[in-house]
Amino acid sequence: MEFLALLQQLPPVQALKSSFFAYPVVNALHIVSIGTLWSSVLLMDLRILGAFSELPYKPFTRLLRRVALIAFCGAVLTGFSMFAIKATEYAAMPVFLAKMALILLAAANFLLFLRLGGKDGKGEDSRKIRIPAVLSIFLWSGVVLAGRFIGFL
Amino acid sequence: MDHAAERLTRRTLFACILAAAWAGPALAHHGWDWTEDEFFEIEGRITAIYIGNPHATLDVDVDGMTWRVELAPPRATVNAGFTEDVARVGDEVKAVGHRSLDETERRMKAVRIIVRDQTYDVYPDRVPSN
Repeated sequence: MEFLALLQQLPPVQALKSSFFAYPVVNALHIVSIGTLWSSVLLMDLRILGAFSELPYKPFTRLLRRVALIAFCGAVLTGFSMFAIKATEYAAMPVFLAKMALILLAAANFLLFLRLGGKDGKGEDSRKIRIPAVLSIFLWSGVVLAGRFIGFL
Repeated sequence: MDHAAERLTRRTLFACILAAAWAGPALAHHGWDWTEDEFFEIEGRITAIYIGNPHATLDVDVDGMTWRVELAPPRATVNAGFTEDVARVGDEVKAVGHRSLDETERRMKAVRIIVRDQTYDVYPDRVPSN
């Protein structure tokens, strides 16, 4: 909590707190990031579940995974910037903590997916990786929903 | 794609659409959709002042209960004259605005606040006409 209180006092955080242009821009970039992340994750998951099977699995997934990772980094950077403004307040919100927990679960699910053979694309036809693919859709949708509710609780 | 996969894909998409539809109403919480139409006011003692993005807020103690009073975004709030220098924690405040439709929450959005005999109209086009 001490750390969070200090974070709020940092000059760039204070600048963003009272900014007229920067905050909506950071907010918009966060929305773009999570939209891109959610879409690319959904497309990869649906591909595993059998959709658009006419598209080759490997290049399709390689491209979208790169997009998803970049979007995730963008979402973390913009999200952290907005979090820092009212860090102590957000950190005490159950819905914010739920969102962070869902992100951790989604990350654990990604590791599970890699272990089950999703890493090299050899598991393309494996039924095993369908479980993390379905979980991934629900977890990332949950992250977006929990994130949206932060502004309203 | 085989039959089972196709069904699964369709079900997943359907679930996502349902989730989005359910989340829809909550997205309207910004603005005034979440407040009552009638005016509402409280008087109490300020326990916290926040002037910043995304909205400025006051926490106000009214008879031992803490109310969250939402003001305008920081630029509009400061333009109305309400800055960090004009009020202190512990000051008496009167907030005029609209209460949340959800009466279980102690939350309102103010159009006007009065502190130290000064009136600040943070939403000047929404203040009561009298």
